[in-house]
Amino acid sequence: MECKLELSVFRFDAKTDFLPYYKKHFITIDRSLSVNDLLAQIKTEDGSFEYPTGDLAALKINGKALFSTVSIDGLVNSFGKSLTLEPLSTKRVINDMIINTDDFYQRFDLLDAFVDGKDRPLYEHYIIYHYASSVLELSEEYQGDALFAFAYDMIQKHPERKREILEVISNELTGIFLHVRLCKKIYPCGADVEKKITQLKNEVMKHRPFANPLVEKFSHHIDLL
Amino acid sequence: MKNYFLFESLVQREKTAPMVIAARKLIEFLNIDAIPFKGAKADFGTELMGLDTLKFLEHYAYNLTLAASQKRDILCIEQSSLICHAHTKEILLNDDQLRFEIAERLGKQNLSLNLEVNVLALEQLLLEEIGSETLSALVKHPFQNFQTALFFGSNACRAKKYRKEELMTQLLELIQLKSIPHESTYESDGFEVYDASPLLGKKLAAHAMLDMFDNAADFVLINDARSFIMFDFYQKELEKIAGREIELSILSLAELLLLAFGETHKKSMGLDQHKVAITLL
Repeated sequence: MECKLELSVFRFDAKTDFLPYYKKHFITIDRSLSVNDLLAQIKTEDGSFEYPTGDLAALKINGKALFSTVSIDGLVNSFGKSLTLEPLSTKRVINDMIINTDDFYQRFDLLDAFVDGKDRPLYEHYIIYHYASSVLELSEEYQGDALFAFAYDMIQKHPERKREILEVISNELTGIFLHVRLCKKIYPCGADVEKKITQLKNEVMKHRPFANPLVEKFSHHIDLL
Repeated sequence: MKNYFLFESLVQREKTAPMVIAARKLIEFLNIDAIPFKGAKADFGTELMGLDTLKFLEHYAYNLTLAASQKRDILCIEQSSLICHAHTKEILLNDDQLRFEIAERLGKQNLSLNLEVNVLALEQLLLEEIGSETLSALVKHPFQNFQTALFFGSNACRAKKYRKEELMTQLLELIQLKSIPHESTYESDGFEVYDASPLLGKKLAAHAMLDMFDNAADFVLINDARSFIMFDFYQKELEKIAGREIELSILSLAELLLLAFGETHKKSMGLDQHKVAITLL
C-alpha cells in the first residue's frame, strides 16, 4: 500500500556550507519498502543528496537512531507521515546523511587488546547506540553505549578477559556510570542493550576491578541499604 | 473503592517533600482511602538496580510484602516509585530462581515474600476509580490560558508497562490545559548520572529545561520525583551552567489538580517549599 510522506531532510556539505538547512520532499512510496528505498527516491529527486549505503547504514528519523533497513510501514505506524531525516550526528557531518565515524572506531581501540579482530563487525552493529546517546553530545570523551554493549558480549565470549574489560569500561570520567537510558532514542526500542548495560554495571560493582573512587562510593551507598 | 497505602518515601525526600504534601492534600480532598505507608523502605530509583540488582529486588520486595500482608495496594504518586515496585513484582513473578533467592533473603528478616499486591499510579486511580465526570465537576479554575511542557524522562520506556501515558493527557484535557510538543519529553533529566558526575547531570537537566522554555511552556509538569529534584531543586545551578535565566515553575500532578480544583493555600499544597516560585496563582 502506498503512502505520501512529508519529509524534512537535513542538508549540509562540510566543504561548502556554513550552516545546515532542511529541504522539504513530498514522496509517495510503498509502505512495504525500507528507508533505504526512501533515501534512494530522495536521491532521484535531488542528485546532490548523499546518504550512507550498506548493511550498517544508519540515520536518525524524528530524533530516533535507526538502521536504513527498517520498513516504512513500521515508521509510519510509530511516527506518522511527517518525518525529519537527519544524520546520526549533526556535529560530525561530512555531507548530508554521511558522517565521520572516526570517534566510533576510536572507542573500539579501547578494547582492541582484549578481543579478537574478528569481533569488530559485532561492534559495528551497535553504531546507532553510540550516536543515540545524549551524553556523547555533552561529553565528547564518553566511551559510548555501543562500547558497553560490545563489552558485555565480549565478556561472554572471552570470560578470561573480564577483569581487563571491566576496568576499561568503569573509568570514572568516561565510563559506564555516565550512561543514560536511551530506549526512547532508538528505533525499535533499545531495551536489550539497556539490559546488557545494567548487567555490566552489576558486574563492575561485584568484581570491583581496581581501585576506583566512584565504584567505592557506590559500594558504600549499597552497604548503607 | 479499594484500600491503598500512599507511598510517601520518595527518592531524596528532603528535596521532594512538596510532592508528598500535595498528594496527601489531594487524597484528603477526594476522600480516597489511602493511608501513609509507614515502615516502607525509601525509594532509591532504578539506579540501584544498575548497581546491585539483588539488593534492588530485596529492597522493593520488602515493601510489596509489607503492603500485601496488610491487604492494601500501593498507590504511587510518581514514576520512580511506581517503576521500582511494579518492576520488582514483575521480575519476581516471572523468575522462579530470583523469587526463591529474594524469599530467602526476606526470610532472614522474618518476612514471607508476598506479591499479592497491586501497584497503582495516581492518574490510574483518579480516572479509573473516581472517574472523569466526577473530576470534571470539581474543576473550578480551568487552565485554558496556560500551556505546559509534559516531561516523562528517559525512564518512561520502562514505565510504559505499568502506566498509560494517555491517562495523563486525559487529565490535562479535563482541566483544559494544553501540552506543548517538545523534543525533550523522553530525554534524561540527569538524575541517573548525578552521583557519578554532577556536572553532566546538570548539563542534561539544563538542556531539557531550555528546550521546554524555548518552546514557550508556562510551567513543566513532571511525572517523576527525580525530575522534580533536577528541575526545581537545582534550577538555579542549571541556570549557571546554561548561562541563561530559566525561571520555569515545576509542578507535580497532585499540585496541578489541586490548583484546578480551586485550592489557593500554597502551604497546604507544599508550593511554598518549591525552590522556583509558583507564579500561576
